[in-house]
Amino acid sequence: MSFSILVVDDEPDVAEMFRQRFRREARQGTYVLHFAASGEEALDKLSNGVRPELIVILSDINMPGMDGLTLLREIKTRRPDLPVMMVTAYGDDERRRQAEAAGAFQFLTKPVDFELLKEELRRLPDGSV
Amino acid sequence: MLKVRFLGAETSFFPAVRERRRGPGLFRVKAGLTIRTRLILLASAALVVLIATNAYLTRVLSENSAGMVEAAGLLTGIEQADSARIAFGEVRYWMTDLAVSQLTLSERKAAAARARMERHLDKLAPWNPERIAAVRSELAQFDEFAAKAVDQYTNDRRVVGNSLLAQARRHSMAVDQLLESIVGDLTGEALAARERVVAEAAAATRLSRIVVSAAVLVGALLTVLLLRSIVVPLHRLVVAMDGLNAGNVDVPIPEAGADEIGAVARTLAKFRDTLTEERRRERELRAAHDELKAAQASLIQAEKMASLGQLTAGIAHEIKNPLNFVNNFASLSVELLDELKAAARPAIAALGEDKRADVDEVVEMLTSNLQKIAEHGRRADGIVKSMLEHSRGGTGERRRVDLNGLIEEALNLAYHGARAQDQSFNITLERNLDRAITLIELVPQDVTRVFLNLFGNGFYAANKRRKETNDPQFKPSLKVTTRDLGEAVEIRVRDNGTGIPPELRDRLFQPFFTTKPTGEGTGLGLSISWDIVTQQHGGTIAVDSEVGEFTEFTIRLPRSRQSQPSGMTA
Repeated sequence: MSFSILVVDDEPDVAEMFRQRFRREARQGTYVLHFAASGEEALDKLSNGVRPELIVILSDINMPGMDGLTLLREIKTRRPDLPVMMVTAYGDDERRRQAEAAGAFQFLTKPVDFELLKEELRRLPDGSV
Repeated sequence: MLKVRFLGAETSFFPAVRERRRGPGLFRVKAGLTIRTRLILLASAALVVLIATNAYLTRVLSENSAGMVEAAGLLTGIEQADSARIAFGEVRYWMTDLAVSQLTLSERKAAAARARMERHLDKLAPWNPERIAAVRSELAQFDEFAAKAVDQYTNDRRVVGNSLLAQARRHSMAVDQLLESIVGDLTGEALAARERVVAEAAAATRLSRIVVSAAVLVGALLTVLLLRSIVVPLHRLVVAMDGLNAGNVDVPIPEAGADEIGAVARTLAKFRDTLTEERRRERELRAAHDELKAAQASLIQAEKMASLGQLTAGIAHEIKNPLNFVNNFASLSVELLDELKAAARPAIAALGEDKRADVDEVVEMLTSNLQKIAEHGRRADGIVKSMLEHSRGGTGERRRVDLNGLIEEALNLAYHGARAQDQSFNITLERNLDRAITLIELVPQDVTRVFLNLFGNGFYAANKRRKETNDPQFKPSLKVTTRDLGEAVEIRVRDNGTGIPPELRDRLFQPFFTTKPTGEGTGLGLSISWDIVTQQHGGTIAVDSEVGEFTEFTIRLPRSRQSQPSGMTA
């Protein structure tokens, strides 16, 4: 059984990094990674449907166009149960508070600790491998 | 009356003396009258004396001339009396002659002499009518007897005539005697009148001399006093003006009297007040100017800090993302290399000895390089984190805390931290904490960071001096003093370390400024502390230092929060 993870970040290298980090899991078929370079693209992907089943969205906060917090609120109106993890270089309390208020599942700071991230993913509903 | 008027004028020159009875004040003339009034009074007094003296002398002179007239009148009386006697002698002669000669000529001569005598008696009559009446009565009897005698002689009755003549002679002698006494009396009176006139003239001369002398003396005295009353205050005024001109506003200005000099003194006092006021204003302005300058300097410093802080935050964020990739890809590459080694092991094993060693060495070096990249990336990440914490500010909660407790805690933490890093480290800690300090509201974790920074720096400096001096007597020490200032609390952190050269003090609070060797300090500690104290808590932080002696940081934290929360949440 494999699950999809959608990573939203305007930096193209983020995709490469996630691919390499999740190389083993991808090979094993645990997770399928999807990438969106903007909030708008992420919403498009969401409405087009993601296969296999999407269990989490990881989103940057500072992005040109729609920012991560707006995206978060938009996702929450469409898919209230879908966990969204905010990943940002700005770990200040204000953003953390806003993210929590908007219903973020988790708040991670860059640089991303992938071991911790994988741990978190395993604890997701339907995410246990 | 003259005297009274004079005294009146005189006393009015000394109103101050009359009113206050001040010791040496007889000549210390306080001007109650204007100079014009004083001059008029003095001149009037002199004029009054002059006029009075003159009037008196005129009166004495007129009295004198009356006396002279009287004396002259008396002399005329004497003359008349003498003439009357001579005329009577003639009457007697001609009557006798008539009696003897019976000549009409004699009779005529006798009548003429008789008429002359009557005229003289008429002139004498007003002087003393009684005695003249007595003379006339004797004369009438003489006339009567003489006429009878002439009649008897005419009738040649000589005996009867002789007896009648003898009677007439008796009366004629009485007339002579009376006239003589009149002359004597008149002469006596004339002498007395003359003496009286002379005496009165002498007395008048004497009195006028005395009065004039006294007037001259008093006038001179009053003139001197008047001059003094003008010159002395004028001199004081000149001294005061010179003083003011020289810029001395404390110079005494004479009391302002009612006169013209008083008016000048009042104006001068006003001028002095204006000058004093201007001086005060100038001092205030200068103080305000200095304050402004200081405020401007600190504003510029604050602005520099703020822009540096913002720049720091911006740089930190910009660096953070690429650094994230560097770190991630570096550690990923280490993993990938491991996988490569595992995958390529059979192929490598199949290589010749030399080639295999080469490949192993290259893989080894690549791994090591990637590890170094990851390690230094982490170091850079640590710096970036500090920078972000620095710029973030205002994250912690404000709480009411015991400042002394916070300091004790930080002191222990810093001390044990330093000991953990360097076993040889030791320092004497002095605590001079004001136990009366009540709870103060602040952000404990941030203020603790400030203390940790300051204590850490102090330990470092004191320890550095110990290492540099090689003096076994030198004992590193750090002293923490707290003081309650009412509206604020003061914390002093003083070490006896190497000190801070003056040229470095301006840059002390700038981010990334450090004197420590690379890797030992980020140069952010004091910058962060500055932010926390001034921006977050609205306090001040100042440094005092002497190279090779000490460094002392003084922090003041106000009890009421005045600063806005520093909004550097970029």
